[in-house]
Amino acid sequence: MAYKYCVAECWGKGFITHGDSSKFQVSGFPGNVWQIPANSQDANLWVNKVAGSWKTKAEAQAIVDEQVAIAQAAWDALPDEQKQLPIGRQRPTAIVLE
Amino acid sequence: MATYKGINGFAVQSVASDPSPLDEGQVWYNNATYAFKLAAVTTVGAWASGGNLGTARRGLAGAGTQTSGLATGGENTSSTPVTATEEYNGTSWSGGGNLTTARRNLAGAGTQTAALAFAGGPPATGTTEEYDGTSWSPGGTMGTARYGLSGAGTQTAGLAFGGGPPATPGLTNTEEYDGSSWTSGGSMTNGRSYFAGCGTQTAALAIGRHSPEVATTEAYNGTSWTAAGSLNNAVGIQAAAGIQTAALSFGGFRGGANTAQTELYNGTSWTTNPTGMATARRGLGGVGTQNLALGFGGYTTAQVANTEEFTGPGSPVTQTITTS
Repeated sequence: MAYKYCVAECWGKGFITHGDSSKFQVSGFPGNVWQIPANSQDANLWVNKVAGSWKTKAEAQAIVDEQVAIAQAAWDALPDEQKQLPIGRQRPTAIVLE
Repeated sequence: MATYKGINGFAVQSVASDPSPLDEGQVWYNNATYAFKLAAVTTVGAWASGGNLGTARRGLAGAGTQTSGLATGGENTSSTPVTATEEYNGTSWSGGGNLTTARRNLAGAGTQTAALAFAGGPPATGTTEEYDGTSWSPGGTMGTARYGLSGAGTQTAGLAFGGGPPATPGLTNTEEYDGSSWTSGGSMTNGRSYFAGCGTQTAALAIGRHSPEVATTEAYNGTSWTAAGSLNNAVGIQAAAGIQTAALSFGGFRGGANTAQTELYNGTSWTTNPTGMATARRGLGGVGTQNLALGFGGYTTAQVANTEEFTGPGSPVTQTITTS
């Protein structure tokens, strides 16, 4: 499936409604990047509703990469005893947008 | 031509706020938002965004329902355990009384006004606190201090199961709470930590496990655990809602990545919901029922505040009528 991307800040209730997500899948990524189906009028209307800023896949990937890099730097700065806590504390890994 | 009045016996009503509960097929005009609306019924489960938590966190505990939820404890964006408690009203979160002991990877049970928070760590603790809707007070101490466990039941009939240390493969221990003290229950067949649980003290469900993730589940009858239906996909560090015969498992961690996957259980087998959560995450909190669940907080590449509300198939929902 082909996707499109936008950046929008989730304000909370009403940002994504049941009506929205029953028509198309919205997937969120770090940096307020949202992925939607490329060929969905409903998804396009949703981007308008949330005042999303359209991004190319490369632009969206760059935003996600920047956030992952920040998370990795934060993880690297943790004390060793924090890194060893057994709660899924793997160093954040790269996220590749589809 | 059939008319709405002819079918229903009354005209479309003009109201200032949407009716509750919804009656399938009902149409009304909301004169505050200038919109015609329809009470429809969902054919598939779907997630919607809810109000954001005031404190972004993971490894938190929850209690209550989708419209009367409670979030407490966890670990904030500085990776520090917190005491913060927040109450959800179906729209937004507001501050509640703080836990006495800051902790992460704890478990919760009960309702927004009669909740239980117990265990947590590392370091492992067995302390229990009881919430009355305003403040927390000490409860009985667990026999086995632990973290990464799951909880079920109510404030006066609670259940704690699994956890660590050791986190791998996890403990099998079960403990039952009567409102004042914990006593041993039947042991799970498999050790589990960083997994999800739901149900009641006498009908609970343990779902998945972390490190490595598994698809297996177990059901408790108040005395012993037996194998239950396996998930379609192994998962750990996820959340759950509902009861033993109508459960929901959502979010979590699988194969080195966060997942948004949502699965529904009917007491025998799991089915995957066509759509997942909007934000894939692990270490989130979950409360409510299979049809009306709430997922909040968790971890993506950082602790998050996002809340999502699940409405299961067959549930009434409000739709705005448009010309498109």
